[in-house]
Amino acid sequence: MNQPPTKGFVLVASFSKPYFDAAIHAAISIKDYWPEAKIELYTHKEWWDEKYRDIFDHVHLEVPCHVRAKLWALTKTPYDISCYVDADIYCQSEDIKYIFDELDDQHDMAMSCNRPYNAKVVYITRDEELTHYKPEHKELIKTAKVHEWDFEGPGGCWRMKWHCGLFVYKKNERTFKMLDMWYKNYRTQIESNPKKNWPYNWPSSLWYWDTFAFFNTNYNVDYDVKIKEIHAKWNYVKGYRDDRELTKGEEIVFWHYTIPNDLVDRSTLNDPDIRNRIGNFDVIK
Amino acid sequence: MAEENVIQAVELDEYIRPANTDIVDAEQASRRDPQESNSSEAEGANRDIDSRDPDFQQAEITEKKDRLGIVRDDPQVTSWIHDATEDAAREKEQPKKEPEPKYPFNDADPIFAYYGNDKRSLLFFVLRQPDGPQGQPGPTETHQVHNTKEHEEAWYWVHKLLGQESINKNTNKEIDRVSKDRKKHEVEAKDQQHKADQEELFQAKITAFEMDVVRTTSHRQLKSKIRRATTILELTANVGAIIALEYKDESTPN
Repeated sequence: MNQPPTKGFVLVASFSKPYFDAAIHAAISIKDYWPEAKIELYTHKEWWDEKYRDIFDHVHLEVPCHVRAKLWALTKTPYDISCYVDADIYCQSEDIKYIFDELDDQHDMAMSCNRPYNAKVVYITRDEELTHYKPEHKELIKTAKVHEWDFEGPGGCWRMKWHCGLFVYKKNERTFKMLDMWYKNYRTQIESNPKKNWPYNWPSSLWYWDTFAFFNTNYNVDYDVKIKEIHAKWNYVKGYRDDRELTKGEEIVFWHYTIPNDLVDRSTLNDPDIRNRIGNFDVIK
Repeated sequence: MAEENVIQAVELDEYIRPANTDIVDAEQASRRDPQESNSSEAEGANRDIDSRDPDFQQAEITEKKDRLGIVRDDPQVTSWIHDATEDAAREKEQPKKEPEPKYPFNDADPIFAYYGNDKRSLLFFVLRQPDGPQGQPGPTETHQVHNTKEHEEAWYWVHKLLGQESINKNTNKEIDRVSKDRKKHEVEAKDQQHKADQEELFQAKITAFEMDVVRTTSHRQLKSKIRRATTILELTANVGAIIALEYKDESTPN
């Protein structure tokens, strides 16, 4: 008899201590609204405290010292269906228990979309980041593609469609292959110097964003990973407008805030091999 | 009027007109005999061309311009008697010109100035020293003077050389710059304060959830309110409410 797939949340807190504090915060909130939820944490040994043991089912205490260690951790999940959540998130609805139902048999991943009015960048050309409000850009973004094969059109404009701060994903070969490539591509971009040896024909201002690496991984290679769009209530980012995103009676499930940047920058791990503010994937702690 | 001018001009022509000077009063020119002798061949040719050009003719008639400015109105007074007492009175009426103060900057020149206070009694100015021996540009230095006896010379010469209008203009520009800077600093300070508040709030929430009573309470709604709190006061109130309820729960017998 087939076992039902295992399901759980993946939290990653690395490089800067406030991410760990926030992850604990997030995990407690998940347990408040769904005490049976399974949660896995990837973090550094020096931050861990046994008093939090009850909250987690799996804890990994050796992870890369990098702000995007999540990309390293995604394929290490023990669950058949995982829900990755950024550390700066908290749950505020019992509907959380239905989040895994969002992923049906026809899809491999479930993600919400980036809102252009609330994102640093969503639309790009080969040369520049576009805005959703400039008249000359407005026309262009009507033709934006997510993948090269999307449709025939004037082209030239691309959309970084998916929000990478929360998503549900299946453990299967094609999905993990794509996730691995996302991690590799991100390392390629982040370990380059955007002013000297930026490796892509895209604006080098995208250097920092894992959202760009996700787009870059998928725009011209079809891994056959089927992504389903989910409602904004599952990943409700600070700045979203209720009148646009929520209809009457709809409840926000995950509130996504932002940890103050200065605090993150001030609280990073010290290591002689880390000489910047984002960390080093090769330093494992 | 024009007729009279012609007569005067003719009289002048007879006695004092210098060589190679021709009369070019517009109306007079238009009535000149084309056969009148020309002072040079080129002039004659030009005159022929002008006489054939209807636009030129029209301009001569309609504009009636005194192109060389030699036509004068009739003088109002045609005779004068020298009156020494009147001269003396006139001289008395005129303020006595004080001698200019000594130029205080040696070979340097003031090149830019603006007032430094609302009363306009403080003047900032830039002095440019003479160029170097190889033509290298002279260095500049900034000075400030007050409108006092002590700085009278500098005050006088900066105003004289740069002009009141220019100093006023520079002052207005400086006021705009200072206002802009002040506004920028205000926005930055506000932004900084907001960041500090957010940081404090974040840290306070973490601290609240490190308290066992908060972390383990069954009062989920209050925990949620702590997470959503936008001020320290709101957060503190909800932490207090949890503690109070936990205390009440403990003291209530089952």
